[in-house]
Amino acid sequence: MGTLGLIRLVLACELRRLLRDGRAILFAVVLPVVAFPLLFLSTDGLGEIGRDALAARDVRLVHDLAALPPDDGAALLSALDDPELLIEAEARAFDAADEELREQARTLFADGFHALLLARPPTKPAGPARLEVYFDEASETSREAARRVRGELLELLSAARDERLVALVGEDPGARFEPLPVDVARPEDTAGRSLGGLLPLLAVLVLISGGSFAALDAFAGEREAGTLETLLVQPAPALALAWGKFLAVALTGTLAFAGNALSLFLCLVFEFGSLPALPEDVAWSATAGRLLLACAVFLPTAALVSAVLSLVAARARTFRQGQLLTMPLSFAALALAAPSVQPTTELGVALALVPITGGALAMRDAAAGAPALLPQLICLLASTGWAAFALSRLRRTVDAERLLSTSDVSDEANARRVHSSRAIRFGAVSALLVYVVGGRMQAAAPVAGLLATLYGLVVFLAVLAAARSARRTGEPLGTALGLVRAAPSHLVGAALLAPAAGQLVQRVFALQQRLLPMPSTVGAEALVSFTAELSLPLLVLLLAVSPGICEELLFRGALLRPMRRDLAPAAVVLWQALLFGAVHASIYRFVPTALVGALLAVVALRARSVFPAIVLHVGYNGLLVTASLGEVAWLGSPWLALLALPGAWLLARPSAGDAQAGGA
Amino acid sequence: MSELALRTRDLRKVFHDPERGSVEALRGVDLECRYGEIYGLLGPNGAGKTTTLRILATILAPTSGEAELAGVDVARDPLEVRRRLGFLSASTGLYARLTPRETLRYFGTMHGLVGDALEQRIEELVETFEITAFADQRCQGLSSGQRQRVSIARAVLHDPTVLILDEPTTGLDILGTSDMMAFIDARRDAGRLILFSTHILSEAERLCDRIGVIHRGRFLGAGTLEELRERTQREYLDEIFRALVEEA
Repeated sequence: MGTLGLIRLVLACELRRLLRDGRAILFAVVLPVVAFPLLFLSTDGLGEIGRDALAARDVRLVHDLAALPPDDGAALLSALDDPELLIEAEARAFDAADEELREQARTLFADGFHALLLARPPTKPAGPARLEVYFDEASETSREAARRVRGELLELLSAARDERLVALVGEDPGARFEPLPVDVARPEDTAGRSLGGLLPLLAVLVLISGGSFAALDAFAGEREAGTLETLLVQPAPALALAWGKFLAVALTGTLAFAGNALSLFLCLVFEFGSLPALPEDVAWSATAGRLLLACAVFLPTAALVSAVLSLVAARARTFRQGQLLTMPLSFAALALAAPSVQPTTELGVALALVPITGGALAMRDAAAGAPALLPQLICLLASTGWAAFALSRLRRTVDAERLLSTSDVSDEANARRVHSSRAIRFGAVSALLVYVVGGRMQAAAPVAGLLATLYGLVVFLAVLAAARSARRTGEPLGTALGLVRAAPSHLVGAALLAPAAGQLVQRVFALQQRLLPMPSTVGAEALVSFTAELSLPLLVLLLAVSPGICEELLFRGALLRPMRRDLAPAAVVLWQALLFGAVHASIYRFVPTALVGALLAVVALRARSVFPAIVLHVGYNGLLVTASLGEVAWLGSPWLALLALPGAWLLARPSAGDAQAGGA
Repeated sequence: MSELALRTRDLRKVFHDPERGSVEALRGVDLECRYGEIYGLLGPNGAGKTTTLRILATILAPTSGEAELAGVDVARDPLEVRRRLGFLSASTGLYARLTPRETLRYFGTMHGLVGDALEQRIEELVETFEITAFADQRCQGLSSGQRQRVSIARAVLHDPTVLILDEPTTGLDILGTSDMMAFIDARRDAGRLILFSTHILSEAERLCDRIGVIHRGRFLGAGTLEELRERTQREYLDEIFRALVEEA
């Protein structure tokens, strides 16, 4: 049987098992379909019934209007006597202080009255009398009584004001024109925009909640039931198992979303409920077309969400653990989709590349009938790429489940990454510490703060990480810091790479400026404050030599070695790039610094020593400082980048260290 | 002498434990088993029996060494090995919401059986293992004995030439154990290799043509019961086992 046939077989088995499970039907079919009818019933329907019932209720009012001019009092009582208001009014006399009045009102309410209308004398001579409406916020009927009385009072006041105004000055002299907005948007555009703001979040939420049972049952559930081992000894490749199960998860989630969206749509069409900003005269057939297009645009993102959900479920040891892991996944996915709610967030090229965010924005724009072709296309490709990546990870996980099927073996899998996990965690905490503590020190005193951050905090963290690593591996502290003798050719080669690194980062930064422009106030302030008071050699010492030594000891020294113990070189370079980008704590500097981090990691891995990385880092920062000050013009020449050719050759050629490593 | 069905050479497996460091689960296991025999892998809990069987069943990858099953290298061509192998362990479960017949159909299709051939084979197994009465009930309602019969039928559905059973009688009552022994005997008579692990000495004495003894990941020796008696000058299997451990 071919792989496609096996995928179909696994998918059919998964679906059959799901269809026979009440919980799966509940989460994937029943809840998504009845959610909106129930929601509209509880909010709109029941709310309306409640409002009607309240409006039909008789209310009892006590009043004392003696402080009003007799005509005003009579007019007011006449207005409140309207049969539609259902107010039963009773006059009484009150003469008490504020606190005592409140107590008297509470007693009245306990006796079955709902509101007290009290006229009080003016607080200043010739001022208006005060009309106080006492009511009980905790009682619905009392609130309703107060609402009716206040409504009548305001209407009476407004009519009296208009009458007086006309008597004094004739027609309103300010009424020279009346602004009247005219909305030319087609109703389906408005409806699409209104629904488009809601759909992406709904899609993510329902895909996860609807597909989660299928995912947990297909992976963690099988492991718990003891069927996974049986499945893994069948002649079916991991690809077929992963795809069959993924398709079951994706289909279930999609079915849940389709049911949910259809039930929302039908509720709106048959006016069972309404949404804010939804026009009354919507052409539903045109809107349905828009929504179908929006759902089609979202399909790659739906595949990505389903694949990640499957991945999470596959890594969980038990059903319960999988449920716990699904919760943060939902939050993360919703957070990524949330920008689609903000109408001012546009789908640009940069956001189109972000998983889930791009898909959510594309879906919103497609529903609103305003899809921009290029970003939509980029988003489609990027989302497909992310989904393919998640699926490839899933395939590997299913393959690795052979290793995860027993506790002793799962320990093996965990142990394999124990050194790198610790190093990555330590790197993340270090980045946070440098950002919080170092940032405060530098804000207080730029030069002293920078020196304290580098030679105090960063070096301390480097030594701490190296000491922990050395204790576990038994190697000397210096070796754990990467302070291993480097080949002279590697040192020279690293130095020659510096100009090219500078040029590369400049190009990348220029590209990034088009997608994510850096505000002019960011970035320059630190350099400006230093350059004003320090000479060039001191600046180079402070901004090039010091970070070159201290940061390299931490990242390419103490953290890189444990990472390399159990990660592939590419993964080490990736983690190094992420951590080095993160430690610079700026979204605008992240990509350029991550790129430098990756390059430094490659050099350190190749040389098996931290020294060439220090040389490259010092050289790169030094060129950046001198070029930005314009002191040595030729250092900024693009031709210097050609030095990278001999530099790369020197690094690539075999050295004495290679022979030793090979021998070892 | 019949053809070689299974062979391992210096099979090793190292697990890496975060607290204990590297743990050598297998420290060089050499097995040679032939078709038409019942080979018992004997050892206490944690001796390495399950690890050995899992490597042979392609669930685990060996750290080093070689293993061939039915002439196929387990590391190089695991899918081909799985086509020739039936595997059953004490922890093997069944899909609760499928019926026995559907379970057999699912795994049979996975092994390439289709159409009439598949249905005929299923009927044959349903009759052989006396599953007929509950063949169309969902597995979640079956007793442990009924589930065991379905699991065995599933394991031999594709008529594998090698059957690996990891502690197959764990958790079974007397009748279940007896049925399992009868089944193992029948497979041997059909010319298949049955490799099974146990720590129950009486089972090994009663069933096995040859016995391999494993202790703390080390393979201590193998032979017929008579050969082992001769080698250790002991009568009973527990004494033989102790003697082999001391000898090592």
